[in-house]
Amino acid sequence: MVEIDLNHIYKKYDNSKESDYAVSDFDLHIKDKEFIVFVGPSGCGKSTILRMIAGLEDITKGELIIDGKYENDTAPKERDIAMVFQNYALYPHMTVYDNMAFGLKLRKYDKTEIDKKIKYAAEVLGLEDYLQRRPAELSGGQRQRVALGRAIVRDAPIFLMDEPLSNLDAKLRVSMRAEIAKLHQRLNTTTIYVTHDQTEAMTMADRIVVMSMGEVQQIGTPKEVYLHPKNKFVAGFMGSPSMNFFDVTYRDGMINDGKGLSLKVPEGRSKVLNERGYNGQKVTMGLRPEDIHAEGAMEEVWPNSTVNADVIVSELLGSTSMLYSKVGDTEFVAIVDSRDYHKPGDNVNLTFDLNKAHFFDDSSLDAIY
Amino acid sequence: MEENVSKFLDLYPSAEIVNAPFNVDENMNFLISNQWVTIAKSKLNEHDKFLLSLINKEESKNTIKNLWWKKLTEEKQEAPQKGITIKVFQFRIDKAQSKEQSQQWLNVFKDTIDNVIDSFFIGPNAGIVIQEKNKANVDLAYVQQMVELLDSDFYTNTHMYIGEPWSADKDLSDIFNEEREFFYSSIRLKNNVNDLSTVILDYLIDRNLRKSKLFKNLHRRVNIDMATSNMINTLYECDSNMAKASKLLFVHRNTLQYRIEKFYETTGFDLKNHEDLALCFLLLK
Ligand SMILES: Nc1ncnc2c1ncn2[C@@H]1O[C@H](COP(=O)(O)OP(=O)(O)O)[C@@H](O)[C@H]1O
Ligand SMILES: [Mg+2]
Repeated sequence: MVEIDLNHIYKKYDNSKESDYAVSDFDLHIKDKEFIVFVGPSGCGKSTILRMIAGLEDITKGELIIDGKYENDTAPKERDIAMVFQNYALYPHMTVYDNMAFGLKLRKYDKTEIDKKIKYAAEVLGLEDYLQRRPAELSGGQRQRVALGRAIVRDAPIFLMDEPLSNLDAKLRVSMRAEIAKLHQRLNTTTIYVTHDQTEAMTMADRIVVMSMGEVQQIGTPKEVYLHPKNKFVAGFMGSPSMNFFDVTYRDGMINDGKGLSLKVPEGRSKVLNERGYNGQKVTMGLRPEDIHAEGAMEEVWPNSTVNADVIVSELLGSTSMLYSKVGDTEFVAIVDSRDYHKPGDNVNLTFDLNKAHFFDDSSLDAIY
Repeated sequence: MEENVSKFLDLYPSAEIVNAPFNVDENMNFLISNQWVTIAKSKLNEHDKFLLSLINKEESKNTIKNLWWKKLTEEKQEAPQKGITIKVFQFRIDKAQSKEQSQQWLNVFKDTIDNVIDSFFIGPNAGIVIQEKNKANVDLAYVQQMVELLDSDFYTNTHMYIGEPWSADKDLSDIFNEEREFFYSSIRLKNNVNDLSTVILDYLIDRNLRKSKLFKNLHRRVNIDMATSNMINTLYECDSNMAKASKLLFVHRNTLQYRIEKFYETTGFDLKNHEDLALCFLLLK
């Protein structure tokens, strides 16, 4: 049973400027056994938070509470935490067995206990036959598993992982992603996982913390952040390909970009916009690529939501294609059925499902709902 | 603040807390409870200078018997092995539990590096590894990985500087003296393991430009906010590859384009121009 509270955490590095906080007002409660993913672009402060939890960096302001105990000043060694780093390094001159045993030997575990822990980890990871090999005799994937094994044998109730898959090729990344998820289901260790890859966040997390420039943008399940992004940053960051954005003016139930895009907003949505005082205002409209349709049938359902666009590029992915097109000045992408193939230069009618649209305030960039 | 540090500052009000030894020619630097403190020699009388030099453990050159250390610090000393080319690794292990642990750290580290001919401590946490330079170069990233790995097992925080290959002749002590300064400069950098390429810009700026009025004013001009600094650093690291930079920054290419133009309007520096970009990168160091 382990819960982590990060209460209004701030971090300023000694050598940085007065006002430059690498992390500001980071506030999060992590539940027992939870798999939390911190996601955000490079430099947004993910590693900094992880290192503060591990005790490798001081906390400038705020409290770190682990299981009700104030831990800001606890030495890293005294914190019951296992950390897996980006590079998955192993000692080249030690066998797999010794690589896993090393940390335990330092902590003066006795031989039989070490052996028991290693056998268990090897069984979990399918490494039983490789214990006497050296890292150079292993495949990339096996080495990654040994590095995970080094964390498992610590038997710590908290795992911290800092971009553990970022140095792997795409194929190995996908299989290791599944492996880590499986491992979490089996061990139930409270895990904080850092990545800049939104796909990893979406597929692995119980809850996602989306960060930008040292600040939390949104905390929620993958579904919540995908379907109900709190602001334009989250909307654009989560999802691949990204959400399309259109700069429009909203007036009397219609949106218009002044350059040929003119669409009717469904009643439920226009009611909210009216109530919030956006009639006659500039707003940003966001629409995901899967909510733009090329099938003629859709056009009949929503005749007032159809635009005529010029196709720029069409990428065939398999059963679906990514259709990059342009209306007025705005480029956008739609995921369409590959049977509706279009060449660059084609003129195509696309139907926007505005029931799925997101609206953002133009100055705060917050979602309007 | 740690009690001993604050006591020291009470006794010597002109002393300052620093991240690494500072201006070693004109200042004395002390490691007090894992915190570097610096004080200008000009602020001290002879009596204090003498007493303080006694506690300056890192600089206790004369008591270290190791022959390679003597060769590195004394011009007239013969090299223990003649006619070879060496690389000197300098390191400092912070947060080690004990002297034995530091020693053990070093024992494991030197097994991960080829052709180590000697390794020793020159202070409670600081030490040296001497590698005979062979054909294969040690890769900075590899050493960084090994240090990170060891630190994760020992719960330590280690800084290391990898020297250039030098023949062990009479110039070595002068050269090493400069490499010591590079090491000290590198301690405040983000990465724990550095070499000449990763430290030189900071070193030169720190030495020559930090006090310059012109530099300070330009710094203020380009240091607009974190997003801007991040953009400049990323552009520099991506060799101005816009596609790569916009991906890393998670902005649309056009947005990046727009920000570069806006930056040009406010500062007069064009980040698409290599020289301007390099200058802005330096100014933000
Ligand atoms: N040791 C350090 N000293 C000074 N600044 C740092 C240090 N480590 C990170 N930073 C700065 O703090 C910010 C957050 O960095 P980091 O936590 O590494 O981001 P992320 O892991 O999300 O890429 C960045 O602006 C980075 O340059
Ligand atoms: Mg990071």
